[in-house]
Parts: sequence; C-alpha cells; structure tokens
Amino acid sequence: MKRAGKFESQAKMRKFVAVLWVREQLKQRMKAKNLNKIEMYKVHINPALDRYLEIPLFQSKIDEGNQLLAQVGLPKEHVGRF
Amino acid sequence: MRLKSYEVEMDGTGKVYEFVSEGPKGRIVKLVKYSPMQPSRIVHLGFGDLDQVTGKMDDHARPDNGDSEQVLSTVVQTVLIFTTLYPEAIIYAKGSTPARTRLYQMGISKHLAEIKEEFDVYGLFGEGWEPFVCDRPYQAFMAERTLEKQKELKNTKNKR
Repeated sequence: MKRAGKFESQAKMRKFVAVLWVREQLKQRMKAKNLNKIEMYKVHINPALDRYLEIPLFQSKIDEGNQLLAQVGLPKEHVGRF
Repeated sequence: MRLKSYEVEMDGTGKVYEFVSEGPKGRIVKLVKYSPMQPSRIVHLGFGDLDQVTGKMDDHARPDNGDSEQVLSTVVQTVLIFTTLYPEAIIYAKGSTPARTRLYQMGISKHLAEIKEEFDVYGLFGEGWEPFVCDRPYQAFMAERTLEKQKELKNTKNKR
C-alpha cells in the first residue's frame, strides 16, 4: 500500500484511493456473481487521459442524441423520475 | 463462458477510458468517453479509434482486428466501472453506422441474461423506448443499473 507521502499531490492520492475503491467494489460484485463469466477487471489510472475531459469528443453524436431524446422522450419507466 | 477483455486505463474521474486492441492489423488504441446529455443523468457512451498521429478520434473506423468480441467486452467493462462510480447514470449508446448499431444489438442479445442481472436495458424502436428484446432492430440503446443495484452501490459508497 502506498503512503500519502509518496504521492506528488493530493489530487494524485485521491485518484489512487478512487482506484482502490473501484477495485474493491468490483471484487465484491465478482465474488457474488460474475466471477466465472468475466475476467477480473484490470484498470489503472492514467492521469494523461484527463486531457480528453476538456476536448469535446463525439460532440456531433451527443447533439444528435439530444435531438433524438427531445423527440422521443425517455423510456416510460423513467417518466417522473427526473 | 469467459469473456476476455483488454486491460483498461482510465482518467481520474472514471469518464475516459483507453485500451489497446491487438490483432493482425497491429495495435489500435481505442478510447471510450462518457459525456453528459440532456437531462444530465443521461450519459452518452462515445467509442472510437484514436489516431495517435493526429490525436483525433475516428468512430467510423472498421479495422477488423479480429477481436470485436474482446473489444465489446472491454467496452462493457467500462460501462460496469462507470456505473459503479456513478450508479444513477443512464447510458445512451448508438452505433456510428447502422452496421455498428446492429453489432451492439447482437452483443447485447448474446449476453442479455447476464446483462439483465445488473442492468435494465431499453431499445429505441419506432417512436419510443421499450425494454430490450432480442431480434428487434433498434436504433439506439439505453442501460442503467437496476434500482436494486443502484441502492446497493449507493449504500456501499455512503458507508465509506
């Protein structure tokens, strides 16, 4: 287990803690049901991917999806849940 | 059945994922990004190939790297991780082409029983959404954790 002092910043430590949390969640779920259906999750944090948060990727598809939802609405099971 | 998937990297928020497809055509970097829609609980699942030279996305690429099942399984893995972090999110997905939408449809149909253990899935047919059934040509899909799973995940989160 890494100690906080080894991290360059608080933000990096928070990300590391987030990964541990996700892994634990997934491990618990795996034990419960899907262990023999899906291979164990392999996920790592790569801070370099943060740059894509600011880049509007797939924007035309998102706009198209918003238009579609405005026309057809949501599944009726969700009406009133927003 | 064991579904193979690729090792995934994600950003610090769990909204961007990257993995590398490996096959006869070499190593192809794939990117998955979850972006808010209107209303904001709906989240768009964007998926495509990352051109490492230009840094641009191509969601129409059909590299046929012989690993489409493994790639789809990896995308599903990102859906599981994302909805573990954001249990109330409703994922919206539509293929960039009708052929790709059909591919998603086949993937969901093939594993519908397992998917239903975790998710409520809907398909857009004609003018409205309906609970997903196999062999119906849907135009788009939505999936969210079952209410029971959402509560379970939120409780676990609150305990921490």
